[in-house]
Amino acid sequence: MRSDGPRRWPAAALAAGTVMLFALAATVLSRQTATGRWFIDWPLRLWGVAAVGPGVVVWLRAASPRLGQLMVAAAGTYYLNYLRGSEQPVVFAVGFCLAYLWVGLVAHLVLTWPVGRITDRAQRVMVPLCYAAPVGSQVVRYLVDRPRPPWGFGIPQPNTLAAQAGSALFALLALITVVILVRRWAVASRLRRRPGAPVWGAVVLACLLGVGVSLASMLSPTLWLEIPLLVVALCAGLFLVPAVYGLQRQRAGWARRGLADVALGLWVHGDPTTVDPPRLQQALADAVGDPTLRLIYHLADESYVDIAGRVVAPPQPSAGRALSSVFRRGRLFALIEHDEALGDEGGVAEATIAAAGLAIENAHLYATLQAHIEQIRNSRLRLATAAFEERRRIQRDLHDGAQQRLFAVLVLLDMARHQLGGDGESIDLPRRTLQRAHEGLQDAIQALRELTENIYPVALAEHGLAHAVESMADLSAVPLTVDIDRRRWRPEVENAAYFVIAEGLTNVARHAGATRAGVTVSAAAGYLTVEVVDDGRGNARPLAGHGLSGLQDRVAVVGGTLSVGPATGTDSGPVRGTRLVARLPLEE
Amino acid sequence: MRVVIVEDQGLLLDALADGLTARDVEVVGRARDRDEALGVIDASAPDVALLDIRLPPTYTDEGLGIAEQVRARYPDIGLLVLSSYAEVAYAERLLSLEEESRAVGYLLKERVGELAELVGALRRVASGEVLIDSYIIDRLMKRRRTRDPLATLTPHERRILALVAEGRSNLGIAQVLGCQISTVEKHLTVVTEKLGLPASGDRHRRQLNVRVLAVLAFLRGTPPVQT
Repeated sequence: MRSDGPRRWPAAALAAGTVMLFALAATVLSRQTATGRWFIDWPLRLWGVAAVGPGVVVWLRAASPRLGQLMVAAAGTYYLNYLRGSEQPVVFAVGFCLAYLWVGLVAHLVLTWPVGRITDRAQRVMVPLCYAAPVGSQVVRYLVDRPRPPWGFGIPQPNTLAAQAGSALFALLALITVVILVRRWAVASRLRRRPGAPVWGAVVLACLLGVGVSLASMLSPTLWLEIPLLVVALCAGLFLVPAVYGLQRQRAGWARRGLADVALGLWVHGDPTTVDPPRLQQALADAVGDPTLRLIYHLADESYVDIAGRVVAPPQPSAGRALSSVFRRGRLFALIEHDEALGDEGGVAEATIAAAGLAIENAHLYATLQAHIEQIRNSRLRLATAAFEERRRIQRDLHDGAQQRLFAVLVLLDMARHQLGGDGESIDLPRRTLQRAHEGLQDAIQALRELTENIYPVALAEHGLAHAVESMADLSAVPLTVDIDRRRWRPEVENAAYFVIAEGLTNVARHAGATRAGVTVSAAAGYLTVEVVDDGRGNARPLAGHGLSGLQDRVAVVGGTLSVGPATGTDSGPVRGTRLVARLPLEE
Repeated sequence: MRVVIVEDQGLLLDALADGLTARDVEVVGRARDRDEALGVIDASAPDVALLDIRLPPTYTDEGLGIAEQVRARYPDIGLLVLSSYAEVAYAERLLSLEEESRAVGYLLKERVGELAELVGALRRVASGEVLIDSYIIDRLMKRRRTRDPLATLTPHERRILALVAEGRSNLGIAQVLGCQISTVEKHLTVVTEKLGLPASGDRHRRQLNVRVLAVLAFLRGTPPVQT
């Protein structure tokens, strides 16, 4: 990862600097080993230096620094072979024995590419062998052949048995490496093949060139075949690594862009596809190019479910598969099971996890939000219904309790009045007082009746909307035409419709300056449509205050909608009047 | 006149019974709910039943239910229903107890405060008349109409129409207005012509009730009942 760069660079710089210095020292020391042909000498001398660059880049930028470290190490140890040019016996011995250590490092690189780690048995056997063979064969040769300096590429040497054995071993190991690479390609996942067949082919070709070099050195004492082959193999390896690395970066970039799309879908468009778990999994798999990617959700009760909501066993890492944990707010939200190779691509796994985390959290929030909205809707309806029931109860208490007792007192007052009877002077005053009490009580009863009727429209509950509105219409200030479906609806809808009409008619009387008005209530397509139309000034603004918002609340409680506009279509003349329309769903 | 009172509120029930007794009405039974009411009426054979419309258990229209049963069982018993609410629907239900309504009345409950009037109403119902509370008629008269035929009536004619709707006879109307019965008849002829109501004399009680229904139906905006 990029973020690891600052921590890696001191080590990488130190290693690179060391390699450079060592290369300089070693090549200066071995000036006398030159073949005299620049097109052979310079590539050979500069190969290691050239390999340091890509090695450092890979070290710093790749997901794992291993490949880069191996490259830099191979580049450094490559110059050990120039120590063979030294006349100093110990330096020569070291140079001679370790001359081909770099081949072991290159083999290590190729065998573990593109991961950089030893993961299977073939690698576990082959990598040590590839180190042991070049070093071991040189040690044996040193002990058997007793070589003398100067020694180097391009300096003809007797092709002894030990030398031939060493070359044969080289060739054998290179061949085995080729076989391993080909087999790995054949069984690799789509993700592992991502660097592309040409690149794999090039790696295999470089190995085959190695085989060729070994065979050439074994069979022919002349250097005319061996050295150019070596140069070609080295150059191929040199260009191959950055090419592979670049390709890999590009693929990772594509994947990241795909993930960015997934994330953008969440943030910008609120794309519902990313809320739906199967689609989210598909989107992630497409984005990172791993069709085997699986999302596993971790629930609060420590169980795991797949995208279909089925409970699954706690996932375990297995061969070629890796698990990445998605944490949000310190809680394990989900696991992403994916191809292990995803971890090799710069930041793809992390980006996937981040995107998945966002998406999963988004889905979670969405679901939670939906649940909350549903709860609020239900509780609002319950509250509204409860409030209405409470009004009904208060109305009944007032009516069947207080009012009936007042009636009784009224009767008693009338009786007293009757009992006093006569017209005599002596009883005139009490009679008048009684009369006043009687009238006062009648007024009080009248006021109480109006109060209770306003608290709760008894006619609505007992006789339905049509009847209640007709009763209301009796008191209307302007001539009114009423056309109401006489069926009964659920109480919440009748209540809402009633209050829309009551508020509408109140508004007509107060503000509209209308000469007539109309109320229609009709049921169609699952909706009750309530309309209050007048031919007044068409100024609905008074409704925009408390009245309208109160009505909107009442209508919203039953899931309906309310609109206010001019009452067009009443005449062909200019736009006039007000039309208040409520649409109330008949089914819950 | 023998009366049964059906009223769930005990204080009011007692006060009514006492008050009516004091005004020479024979209260032969009292009841506080439907079953009790039917039993008492069975036992006492009254001339009129005075019924509160809202009774236990639902406090909606039990009184009307009693009225229906009593009318079916004892067609001669007059039914005067008291209601706290000026419900035209209840009045109509009462009027439609029989093909031709008779001996029914619908009054607002606060009329109990004028026992003299209540006694008068009981007597009229007992004698077979139909009467509707003037408050309801007032409301219906005041109902604003897009094309209001009532606007063609003089105030005097409107007053007479309202009294007809309440169930009063021509003689009764003349008494209320303090004029000659011939004057009332003359005005009524004009009113029925202006409104296109079925013409009717005042010779028979049956015609009187038909007249009430016709006016009520007209006021409510539905076509007049054809007889």
